[in-house]
Amino acid sequence: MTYYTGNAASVSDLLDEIQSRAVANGWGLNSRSGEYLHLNTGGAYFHLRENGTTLQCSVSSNYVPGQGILGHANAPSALANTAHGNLFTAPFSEYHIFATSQYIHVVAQEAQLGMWVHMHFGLTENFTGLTWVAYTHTSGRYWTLTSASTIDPLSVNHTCPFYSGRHYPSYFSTGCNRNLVNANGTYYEPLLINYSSAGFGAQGRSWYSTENLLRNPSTFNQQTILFPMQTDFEKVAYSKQYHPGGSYKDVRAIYMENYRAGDTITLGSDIWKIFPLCNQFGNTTAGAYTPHTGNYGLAFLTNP
Amino acid sequence: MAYITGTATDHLDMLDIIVKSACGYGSFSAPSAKTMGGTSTYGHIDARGVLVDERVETFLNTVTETFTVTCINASSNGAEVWSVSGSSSGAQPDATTGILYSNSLVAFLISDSTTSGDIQVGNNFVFNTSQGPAKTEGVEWTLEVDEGFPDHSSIADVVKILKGKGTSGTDEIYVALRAYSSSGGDYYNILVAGMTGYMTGPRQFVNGSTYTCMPLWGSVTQPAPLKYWISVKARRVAVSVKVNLTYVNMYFGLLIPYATPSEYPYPLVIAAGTATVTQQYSDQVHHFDSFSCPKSSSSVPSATNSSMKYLTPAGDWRGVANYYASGTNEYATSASSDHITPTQSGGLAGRSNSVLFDSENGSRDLYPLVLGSSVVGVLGELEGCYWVTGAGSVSAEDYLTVGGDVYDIFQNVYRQEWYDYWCLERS
Repeated sequence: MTYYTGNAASVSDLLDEIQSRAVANGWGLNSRSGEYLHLNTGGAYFHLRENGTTLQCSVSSNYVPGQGILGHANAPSALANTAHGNLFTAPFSEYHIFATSQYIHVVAQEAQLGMWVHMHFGLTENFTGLTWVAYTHTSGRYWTLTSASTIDPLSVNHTCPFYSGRHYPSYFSTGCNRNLVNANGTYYEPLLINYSSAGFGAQGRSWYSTENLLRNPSTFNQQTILFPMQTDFEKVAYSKQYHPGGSYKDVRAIYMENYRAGDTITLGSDIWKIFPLCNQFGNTTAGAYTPHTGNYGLAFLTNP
Repeated sequence: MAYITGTATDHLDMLDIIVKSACGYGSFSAPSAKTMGGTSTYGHIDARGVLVDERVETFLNTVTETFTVTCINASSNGAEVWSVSGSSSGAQPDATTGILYSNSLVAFLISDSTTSGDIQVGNNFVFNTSQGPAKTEGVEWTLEVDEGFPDHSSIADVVKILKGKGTSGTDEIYVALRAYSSSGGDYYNILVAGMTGYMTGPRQFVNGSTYTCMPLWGSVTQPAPLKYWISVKARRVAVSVKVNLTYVNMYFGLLIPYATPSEYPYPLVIAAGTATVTQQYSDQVHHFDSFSCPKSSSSVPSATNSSMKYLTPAGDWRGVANYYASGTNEYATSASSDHITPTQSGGLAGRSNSVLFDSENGSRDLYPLVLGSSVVGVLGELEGCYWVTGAGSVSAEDYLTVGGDVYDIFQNVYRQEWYDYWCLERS
């Protein structure tokens, strides 16, 4: 089984669920202690931490007992450089975990109904013909926008799952053989979020065709296309010359105009479950702003 | 997949080869012991007593076999009688010198050479025929119309209308190819049109259709033959032709639609180099391009000014252009235009984007060429054609092997920037 759903009373409970589902899908458990959960798969090590209403995640190439989410080989040097999913405000009336030996996708509805949070980590999918180990990634959602701006998940004021962004970018590594590469949200189309971190040598980017995304649904059948998302990273720091780093497996970008959170799309034998990046119907009134991402969403494969 | 490569002598020969390749016509080759000249469809053997002069032609029904032609009666000089036997098809009707021999398998003309001495009984020659790859694969198109074009009869322009059967075997995919040339204008081109049908009687090249142009030849063409690559599928045909140092590309047939057949029954696409039918292949203008990055001659792309066009689900023709030419400059078309991804402005392979190289292990990834419309939606992708980065050590005619499949790399006409390359599935 790869798709799980239920509810969790706290972030700690959610971590327990993540642990259970990961182990059931072949992940190695390094430790679960207090606020920390340490997992590994494919030679990559992932470290999750409950910190109030924030769920933090980092990746490294080994596990050092007694360390938190830092302090492992090739781990980020500072908490600020880890992937964060903020506002993991329990209780979670719904959680959805999509798990294989390659990745864990977590989507949860916060105490405020309609608000969704994401956390993703695992290995990217190698392109056909590659023989080297997949790149690791972590990704979370972080929202700091507090004004009644337009619906813009591409704003530099917050990050989006997989797209990453200014504050809490994703990270990439070969799992064990290279230093982590800072992944900002340089993108494909208007998802341009320039961010450079002095702590890392090179930037990465994640992208999909936002132009095509916004051309959905098709007018003649009202259907929506699911778009793969890819990640690249710089060959040399700040060179703006990239290598492809694979795609995020079993997750797609989607424009949710005809869909709502939890809806499914069936394509052949594949069943995809859809969630907004954050909040599909937030309040855009000045002074009463709530985070909102409109029809920007993600679809996850329930039966890989 | 039916994948045919070879060389052509000029634009008319190229047109003939495209049509015959699409329609599954066979080919012939001479045994290595003989001296052959000419092209793949016209040959010449002139060893004493063994001669085929002028031509050998093959057809849809041509099979892979060896023909042996032997003189059995030389009593009438210049009208000798020859037996014809195929290694697979067996004995065929006799042939006569000076008379075009033709059956459903092969056609040839034996000529008596006044400089070679009389033909003797027992003189013989052999040649091999091969079944057309499209026929072998069962993806052959049908040649519906094959005739000269009345309005341009003085310059030997011809029109050929093809019908594809699609993967269902019962589809009706109509395209037309037309030679279009002018010695005064110094252009020798092929036009490709898409249509929903054609008129009987006097042909109308444009019958509810639109067309685009593949410039192929001109006075500055080097004497080297045109090297070509043709991929034939039941739903579409994709072509790249090398003329001097440029690669002129063509796609006609259906998209792989992101819709069901009932929703989008006829996703017809035609794409070549330019909407300007008088374009000289050697003129390196911005609006002369490839379907991997189509362009228009106007900031408002349309079915009349774009190098790539398609039929919408509603049956309207629309143009596709990632960029447009204005004077000596080139600009990105607006977001309201229909584009091919990922080569559109701002796309992964947009001109101003950061350079995407190969993977760390040197492999190159393939990206489908996706047609997106600002009006209709994201419609589908070109079958068997992909964008590939040219960054690093890549040049046209290189090939990739991905997952056991082979892809030939071509460039966008004369362009050689990292975003100007695409590849065609060979196998």
